Amino acid sequence: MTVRPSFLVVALCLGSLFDWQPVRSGEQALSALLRPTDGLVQVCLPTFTEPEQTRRALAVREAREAWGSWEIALRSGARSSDARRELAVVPVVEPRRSAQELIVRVPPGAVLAGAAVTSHGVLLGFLRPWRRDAERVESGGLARVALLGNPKARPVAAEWRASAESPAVHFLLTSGAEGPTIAHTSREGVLASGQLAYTRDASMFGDALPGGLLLGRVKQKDASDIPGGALAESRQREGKLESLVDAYTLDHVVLEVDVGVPWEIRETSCRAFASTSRRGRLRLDAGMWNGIASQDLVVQDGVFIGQVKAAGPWSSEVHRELPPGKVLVVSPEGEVVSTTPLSADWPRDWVPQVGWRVVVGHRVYGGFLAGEIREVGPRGFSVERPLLDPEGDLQVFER
Amino acid sequence: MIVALVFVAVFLGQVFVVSRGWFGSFAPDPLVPIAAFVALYWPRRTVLLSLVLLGWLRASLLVEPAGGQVLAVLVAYAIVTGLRTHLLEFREFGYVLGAFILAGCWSMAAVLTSSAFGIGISGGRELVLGGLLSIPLAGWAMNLANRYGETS
Repeated sequence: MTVRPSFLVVALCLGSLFDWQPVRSGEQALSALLRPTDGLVQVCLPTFTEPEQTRRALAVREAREAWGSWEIALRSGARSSDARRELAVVPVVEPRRSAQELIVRVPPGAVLAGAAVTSHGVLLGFLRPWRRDAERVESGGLARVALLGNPKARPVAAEWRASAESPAVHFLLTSGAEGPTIAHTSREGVLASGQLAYTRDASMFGDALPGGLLLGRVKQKDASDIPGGALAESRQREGKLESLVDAYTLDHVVLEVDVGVPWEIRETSCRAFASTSRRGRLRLDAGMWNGIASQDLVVQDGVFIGQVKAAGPWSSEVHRELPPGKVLVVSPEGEVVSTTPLSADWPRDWVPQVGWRVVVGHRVYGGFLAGEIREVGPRGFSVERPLLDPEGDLQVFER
Repeated sequence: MIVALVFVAVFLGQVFVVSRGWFGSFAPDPLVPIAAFVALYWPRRTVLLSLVLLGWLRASLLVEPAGGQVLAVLVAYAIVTGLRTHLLEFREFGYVLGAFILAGCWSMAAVLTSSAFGIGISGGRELVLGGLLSIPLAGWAMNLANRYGETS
């Protein structure tokens, strides 16, 4: 059987258009022809001016500070259980709503099973092993977080108080069919719907979970759920807990890691071909053979340039779009909001303004300047991306 | 002949990138007169490979999926080749007309591919302006065609 060349060409074209990575990777090969004359092209192109560099350096510093302050806010309320351990902000790779868990990226060999996972002082859940009999919590740099309410999450000693001076009502937060369930309320205590519940310091019983982490809002059982007679009293002592945070929408969470365990980051340095457009895309003079893979982040002097769309053997294609997920939006007053460019995801009563800075973060390298808001519309905002310095080096590393 | 074509296309492609850096989308695409020459006078045996290389090179320069540009140039070629016998009768004018038809079809195919696949495939003004370049090059193109190409 023979294949007509034209059919093969059309099939490959469709493979390329449907973003089939083997074809997309192979088509990068032709850019080797651009390399010999690329230096000459660079000389002939418009250059990056001095004021642009100064302005950019200032904005980059502000972006780093914004990311740093956001990380501090994310860690707030949590504390490490041991001097050999520290709190780290780690990215969520995949939220699994059906399994009531999150998959997070962690430094290899640096986390323990049962470590508390928090965000802004709210307890979200605990790390659990990949398999029941497995000792390792992390596999290939990924770990599972069993969210509160997941049957695999351990019970939590909790309490609520009517006021700071009032005696605490203690209870145990367990997992039930309807999510986090309140049980074993202290004998003298009663529940009140709407009250906030916090973790209780139970270190005297050997529990390393710190007290004071927010758990959620107490909700008494509905009257219809309770049988009559003497059991009616249980309505005051049993209930559910409503979470205040939708854990599945979080991009980053906080957990304990061993001090000084480094992240294993694939990283390389390269340049962009001057011969390629600087509008929304660019081509790197390095590819798979230099350790670049699809989805890697491309950065130049603290400025987020883009994400690798397709990596060929010796060249890669970079798209200058924001990475999917949340970014930080920084107002001139320094207010930092983590959101996506879509207005549906914005916090209530919050509207960004033109000129506000947009910051993209990385688990190891912190915040990078991604640009400024160019336009705000009913569907969201668009971002004016900073210019690429054609003569500068680029750093490429995995997300 | 294909090697020569690739060298010329790479050189002119780089010139296009520089002019695009200064003039934006008002820079004419010099690959259009080359593609028109290939479509009208190139030996039939290697015309497919030559056009694939031209589309692929344009995609490399513009950092786009090569499939879009290759498909667009092949669609444009299919239309020009249908008119080939008529265009050859008009000699230089036929070459210029062919270049404009090719640029228009290439541009249209790029727009259609863009909207069909939701991927940015560059076409438009640059290609049509590239057709203008065929006017001063028409004489050279005819000489080359008489010497190396197929003019019947």
